[in-house]
This record gives sequence, structure tokens and C-alpha cells, in this order.
Amino acid sequence: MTLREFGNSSMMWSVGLFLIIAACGTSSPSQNASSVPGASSLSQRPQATAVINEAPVAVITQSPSRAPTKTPSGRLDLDVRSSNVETAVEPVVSSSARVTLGTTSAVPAATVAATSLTIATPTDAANLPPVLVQPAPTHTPGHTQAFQQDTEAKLDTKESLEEVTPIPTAVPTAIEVTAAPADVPTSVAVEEAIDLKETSVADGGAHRFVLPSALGGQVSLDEYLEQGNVILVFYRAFW
Amino acid sequence: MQGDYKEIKGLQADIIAISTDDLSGASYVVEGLGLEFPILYDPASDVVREYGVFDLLGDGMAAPATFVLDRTGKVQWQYVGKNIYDRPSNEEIIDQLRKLPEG
Repeated sequence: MTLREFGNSSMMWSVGLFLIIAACGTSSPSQNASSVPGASSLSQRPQATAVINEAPVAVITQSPSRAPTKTPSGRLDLDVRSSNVETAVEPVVSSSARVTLGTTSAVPAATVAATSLTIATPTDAANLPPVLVQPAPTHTPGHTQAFQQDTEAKLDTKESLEEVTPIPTAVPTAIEVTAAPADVPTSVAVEEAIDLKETSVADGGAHRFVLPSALGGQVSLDEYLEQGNVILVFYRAFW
Repeated sequence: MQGDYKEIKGLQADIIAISTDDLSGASYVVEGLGLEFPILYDPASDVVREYGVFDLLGDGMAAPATFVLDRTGKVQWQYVGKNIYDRPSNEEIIDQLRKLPEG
């Protein structure tokens, strides 16, 4: 092979290689994108809705892939690993509240076990003691503010009560017990009455008197003392 | 004391009984028993109070009590009962009279 023949052969190989590269470069981007798992558009993906009190509060997007992949933009696309995730809180109408995270049968068993949670079933609730359930508060700004004000007012009242009636912090010490006298006289008053210091007879001089008699007339003590000694008897009639 | 009244009189002494009870029916009993000494009525308990024996038993009445007075009017002996049945015996009273100086 001459040098001229070698040059023509090399040029032909180069042109052929270029054509091959050019042919690869003209393939459609959609084919490349389809080869990247999880790169499908958001609008095309099936969605699962989280529902609380019959109002949707979140949307979870399903991803058909099995593992996190890197998007062409460089972000990691995390798979939710569930085809239908629903969070539902039923309206509180009974003595039990139920929160269930459920999945459909189409979801692989490995992912169902991790997402299913039941707090209380109606059967279990029948065995539970009755619970006073108050309706869920309506969280409007006005009510929230009124609730906060009411709570603060109650706290202030509690503090004021504690100021009025402080809680004792010290335990009373042992109470000294004074033993009752073992022998209490039954006629203390009589014993004291024997001491007649405050009466008219305290100095020994008997009180002079004139009183009516049961047989009529008046009787004077002085008249009897003029005749001799006197036995004065205070008694109770039994007639 | 009516049974020993003669002995008491022999000791130059006499008996005066005082009560705060209603004596409306007492005259019949006094006459029926033949009592020789007077039973006096102290409706206002003034005399009872003066002798310091009023309401000692907590019943608003005179406590049973006995005073021995000599002829000068001086109290020589006294006994106050601790209940309505607590009274000195006649012998004890007579013994006190024997201790008094003869007039």
C-alpha cells in the first residue's frame, strides 16, 4: 500500500466514524429520558391523597421506580414506595377516634407493612370505657384568640387563689397530747361552794331573813336566835 | 329530824327548814306529818344565795345543806351535800350542837 492509498483509507475511516457519531447524536431526547427511571413528568404520575377531616391536606406522588435516581437536573428523585397512601380521620361522632393509614393490595407487601397503622378499631372501642369526646374546635382566628384569653384569665385566677390560700409547705410537728386528769371530782362546784368567803356568812355571821311559812305567817331568824341555837336546813320538798 | 326534835330542843336549839320549791301542797304534808318546826319558802332564792348554796348542782335550786348557828347568829358548822340525797345524819348534827357553849 502506498502512502496515497493509506491516506485515502484513513480519511474514509474518519468520515465513517463521524457519520456513526452523528447518527447517535440525532437520536430523540425522549428516548434518553425514558431510559432514566423516575423521569416522567408530574402530571403523568398517579397521585395519592392524604385526607384529614374529609378535607385533602396533602398530595403524595407515586413513583414507579424502585430506587432513588438522579434526574438530568442533578436532583435526587425519592420514591414514595406506595401506590395509594391515604390518611383519613373520620368525623368524631362516637366514643372512639380512628386513624388509619391504609394501602391497596397492588402495593408490594414490603411497603404495606411499613405504612399501615391502626390506633383503635370499632371492635376495640366497644371494650373501652366511655370517653367524653368534645367536638373538634373550629380554628378560626377569632375563636383562637378568645380561647387564649380565656385560658390566660383562668391562669390569672388560679394564681390569685394561690395567693389567698397558700399551700402549706411544712408538715405540722407532732401534737403535744396533754393527758386528761385521771380522777376528776364529780362535785367540784360543791367543794368550791363549801368555801363561803363571798357570802354573807363568810365572817361567821349568819344572814338574817324573814320568810313565809308553809303553815302561814312570817318567820324571822332573829326570833329563833333569841331563844337559842338554830339548825338551818336547806332542802327539797318531795311532796 | 322530826324524830329527834325533842333531843334537839333539849340542847336549847330549834330547826328552820327553807325550800325554793312551791309550797302550795306542803301545808297538808306538814300537818299530816305533825312537824313541830317551820318550813319556809324562798321563792326568789335570795336567802339561798346569801348562804351560797344556790344552783350548786346545776338545777337552779338550792343544794341540800345544813348550817348550825349559835345564839349569836354565828355559823359554827356547815355541811353541803354533793347530791340531792347527801345529807348529814341527825346524830352528826346533834354532836355539833353538843359542842356549842351553853347559853
